[in-house]
Amino acid sequence: MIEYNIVMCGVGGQGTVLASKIIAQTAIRNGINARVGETHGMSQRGGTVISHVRLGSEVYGALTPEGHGDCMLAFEPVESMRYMNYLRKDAFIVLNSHPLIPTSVNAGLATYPKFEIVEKELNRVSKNVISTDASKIATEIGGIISLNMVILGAFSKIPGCPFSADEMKKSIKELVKPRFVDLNLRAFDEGVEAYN
Amino acid sequence: MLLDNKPGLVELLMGNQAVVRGALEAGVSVACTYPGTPASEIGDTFAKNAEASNSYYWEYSTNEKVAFETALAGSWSNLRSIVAMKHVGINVAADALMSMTYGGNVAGLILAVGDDPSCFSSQNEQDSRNYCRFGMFPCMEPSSPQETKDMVKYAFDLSEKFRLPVLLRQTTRSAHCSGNVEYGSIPETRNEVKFTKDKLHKAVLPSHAYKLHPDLIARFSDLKKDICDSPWTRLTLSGKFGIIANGLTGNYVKEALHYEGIENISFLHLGITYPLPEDTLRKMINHCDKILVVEELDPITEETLIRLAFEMGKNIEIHGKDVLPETYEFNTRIVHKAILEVLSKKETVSCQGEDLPDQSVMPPRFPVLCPGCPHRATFYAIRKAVPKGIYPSDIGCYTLGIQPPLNAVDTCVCMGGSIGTGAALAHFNKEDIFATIGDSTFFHTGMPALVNAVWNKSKVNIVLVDNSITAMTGQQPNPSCGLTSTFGVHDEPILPEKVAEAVGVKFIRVVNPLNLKETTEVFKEAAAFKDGPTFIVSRSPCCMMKGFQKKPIVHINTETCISCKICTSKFSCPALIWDEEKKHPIVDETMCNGCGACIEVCPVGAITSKKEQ
Repeated sequence: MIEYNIVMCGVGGQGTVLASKIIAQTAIRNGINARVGETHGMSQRGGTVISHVRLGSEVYGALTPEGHGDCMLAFEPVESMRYMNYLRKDAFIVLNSHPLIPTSVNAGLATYPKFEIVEKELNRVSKNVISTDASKIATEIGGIISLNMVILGAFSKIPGCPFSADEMKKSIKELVKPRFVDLNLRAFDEGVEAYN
Repeated sequence: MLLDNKPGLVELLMGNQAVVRGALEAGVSVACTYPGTPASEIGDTFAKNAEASNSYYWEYSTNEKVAFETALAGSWSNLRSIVAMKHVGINVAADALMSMTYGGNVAGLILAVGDDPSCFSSQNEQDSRNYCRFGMFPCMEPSSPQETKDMVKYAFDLSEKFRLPVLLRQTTRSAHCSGNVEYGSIPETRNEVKFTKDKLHKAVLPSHAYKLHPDLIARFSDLKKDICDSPWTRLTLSGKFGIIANGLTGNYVKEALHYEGIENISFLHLGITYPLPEDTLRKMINHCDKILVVEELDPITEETLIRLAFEMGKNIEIHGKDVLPETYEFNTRIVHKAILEVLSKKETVSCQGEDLPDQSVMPPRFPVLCPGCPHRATFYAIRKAVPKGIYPSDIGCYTLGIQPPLNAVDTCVCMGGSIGTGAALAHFNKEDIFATIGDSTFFHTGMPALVNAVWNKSKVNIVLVDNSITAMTGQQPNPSCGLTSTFGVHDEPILPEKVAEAVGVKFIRVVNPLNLKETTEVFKEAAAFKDGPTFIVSRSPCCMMKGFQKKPIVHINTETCISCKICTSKFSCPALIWDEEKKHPIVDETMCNGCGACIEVCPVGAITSKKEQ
């Protein structure tokens, strides 16, 4: 593998960091060079977050160069739009359609766009968008905390995904606390199904 | 996992974790820190592994100066020592740092620093290499977690050879980058403890310092020669166009050259970025007719290169800050463009970017206090009690009180600055001054300013927003939380109100900010008190701490709600979402942390506790 770039974005507290680690760990166990770049903002929860997982022999830096992202895992609709500059034309986008309303909207300082608008805006860069309410799925099977696993399950299904579902599940078992493994694996499988 | 003594094992480590692994492989015996983003995980990793490793002394110190002194004492005791801090932490440690270089260290001493170009979580972008120039000690900059680990081992040897501390400079980008790291072995034994009395080198009296300054310059110039042959000075001479890059920025150069398919360039990838390997730079100048220097922030390498070219009488083209910014972190795209500009070439690799989503449809997502954060309630009460005050604040999560609609922070300059500036603002202004400072920041540098406020009879009101943890950097213990540096139970927490009492503050109260009405009354009482400073400890644990996460407890009574929006537009908890169609708030139960402060915010009692139903 020469270069494969995954951009993950969402809101602080949604579990993007663990999801990035699971993909990178899978790469390392398969002998592939990996970089994960995280951006920790000032707030512990509720701010915009982006992390990059970069795989391959010609990868050095932690950030996906603009226009070179092969895939985006978007945990929140508005946050997906914010980071489209990192993607190449027609990159694959896995989108959680469940919005998290920022305080700017609650305070009446801005409005949250309708989902059709989000989709239309994403389509400017890529028509390969698959979306579902992954938050709802996670909540139903036992906790919003497993949202990241639903998204990872979906990631395993996209064309060009470098790893099989089984390879990623192995890393989940390695990195997740033992008592949460079952819930997380179930969430992963739900993600595989939901985005099918 | 981090302690596995299995050479050849490959693991995914973050830059900050790689610092720790490198130190362990170098036989470190003393480690300490004051936490600061982006360097916090260095300390956290030492803390997490201290008991299992049982091979090093470990502490969270009360500030960076104390931490540096702890590491210096380790070095004096013949123990390899490392201290971690963020870039502005060096400003606090500088008093010790700038003098100890004269006498020099004994065992290896590493200052692991996290710089923050682009100010992701800092009040400035200061370039730590300037301290190396100022104090005459070397700086090393890794480009990957693997290099970070290997560099720390090298740095300990370098530090011992020249009796100078080595500054390991990561930036946010490298400190928080994870990657493959191949482990080496961890030695079974450590240096023996031995303090050798040597007044000349360990006591910098004026007469000693006078003698030692020439010695420092001599050691530094030996080091300058030595690093030309270092494995971290990586020179490839090829074409007449050359690029010089520092650790991290070398990554962007490699990627840009790969995208462009450019091969025949000369490349100097610096791992030791101060002092510069001048003989190596001269080789570059002799070989190239055009050189581009790729360094973030200050033009330190570029200026040295210009001086050397001038001394050599070589009239070559030198580029740097003419094509690259002097602010913010770089990335591949920025460096790519600069290379093309210097080569007068057009971009051949297409980067899409012409048709991006419309920015105007994206609502901003400001960094906010967490749902359930007790600071929100404290700020809300301050604004209620003293709507027209001046609000100095400090460094911590609570600086987020600056955001609308709370607007409860007017100034913030440095650690402890809220009390120092707040006390003085009270001398000069007629408004009530309400200064907010966190528990950890109070012990860091707030205490001397409190003594000053009492002594000089300031009427400042100090609100100690005590969430019983150092929260913003990721929940580290501090003297008031009743925890040890390894998160064990401490018998004797040091309480801020006891400190205030001991130094003679006459108005001291302890409140729970989640009781909003009572807290507001105490703030009003404080504002009316004029016999010296007041000190109110607003104490409620950080809602992100283990064991303090609660289930949602509130219920919105839609019949009673008068749609006044105070809860969403004035109190602004992210877990209260305004439903525009139904005209009342709803509780996002996935976010609500069950603090219950919003119950007292509602003017008509439409937010009630579930228990009361």
